Amino acid sequence: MNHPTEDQLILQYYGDGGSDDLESHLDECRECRQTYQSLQRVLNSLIAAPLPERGADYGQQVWRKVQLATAPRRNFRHWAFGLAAAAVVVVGAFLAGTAYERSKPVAVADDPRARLLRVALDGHLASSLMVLAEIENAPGRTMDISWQRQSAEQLLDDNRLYKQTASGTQEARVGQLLSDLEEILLEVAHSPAQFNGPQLQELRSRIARKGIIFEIRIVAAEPAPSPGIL
Amino acid sequence: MHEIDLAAVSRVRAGEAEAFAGLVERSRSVFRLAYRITGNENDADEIVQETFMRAYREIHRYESRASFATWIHTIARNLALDILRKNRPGSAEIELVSSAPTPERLASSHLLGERIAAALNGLSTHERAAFTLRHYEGVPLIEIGETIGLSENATKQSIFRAVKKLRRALLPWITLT
Repeated sequence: MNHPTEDQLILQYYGDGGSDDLESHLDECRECRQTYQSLQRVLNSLIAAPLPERGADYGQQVWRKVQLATAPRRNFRHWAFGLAAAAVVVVGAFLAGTAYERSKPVAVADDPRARLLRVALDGHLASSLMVLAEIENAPGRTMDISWQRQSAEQLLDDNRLYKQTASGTQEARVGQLLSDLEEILLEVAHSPAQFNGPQLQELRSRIARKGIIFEIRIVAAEPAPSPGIL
Repeated sequence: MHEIDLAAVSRVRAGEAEAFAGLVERSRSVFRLAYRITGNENDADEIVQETFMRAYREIHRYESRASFATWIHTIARNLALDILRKNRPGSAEIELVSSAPTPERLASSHLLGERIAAALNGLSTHERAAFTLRHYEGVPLIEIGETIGLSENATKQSIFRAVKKLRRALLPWITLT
């Protein structure tokens, strides 16, 4: 087979026209394999695209607006009755709230380290996911992991720091994830630059067994713990 | 999930408006889709609101062959594309970075995130829409073409151009060596 074009490699990435010939070619041709890996790297990096999150009550907010916009119009008498009823509710709530404030115990504020940890973890998890995703999605039976090895080395230091921070907070799930991630990063960082088929398969199996990619996505999607009531 | 949605849709159709509240729980995924297409938070919020407004008013038009999520995403996708066409009629060129990044800079998700946002903003309307739907939503090429009014081949070309632009803009930032 001739060297594939960039367009063919893009189709291969999305599974829109790949072929066994192309896969075999990527196995055999180092230059094309590197080109494909650099394409994968760019496309995999897009998980780090900024994506603002909306709170857990976002659905309720949307629903309230839908209700307001679709509610049948009422006449003045209905509005007057509604306002009077609302006033009763507000005054009642105020009185009840005042009594409650006087009687309730003071809650302990959440640990700010947990919130800071989640914020700091964003970039770390995105970068780690890139490394793991490239190993998972590598074409063919062998793989040059020089880039992943270098990235893993750099991520390890941060990972240890975050793991230590997590152990001092209530973030047990994050701590476990970082512990599993450290094992994999260590293995990648100390691997030879060239992975053969069995080595690659073994590493992929370990990543799959630990469910790290899934767990990273879950933790990354969770909102940071909100501050407690003082 | 499909069965739960179908049950909720039936209840809304039967006049139990409150059942729609459960369906609106999809609003965060709709927001993500709208944001990825438009790249603008306010636009995405408006799209979410309008999507569910339309879905509520036109619930009788929903056909249970497709999942409710697919239906709602299709409405949102079309609204997002309308906004994208209005706001960004032309295509902009991406300004390439001139200096190679250090590992420290790479490690900063903010910097990488900013570059990705800038690179996505450098795509034309069709390129951004086609790319977003294929890359993030996994929508098949033929369906993307139908949504944005292009042939399957033209859709492919839009995705090719998008990927090449993104690659040109981002590769220096994610290559360590």
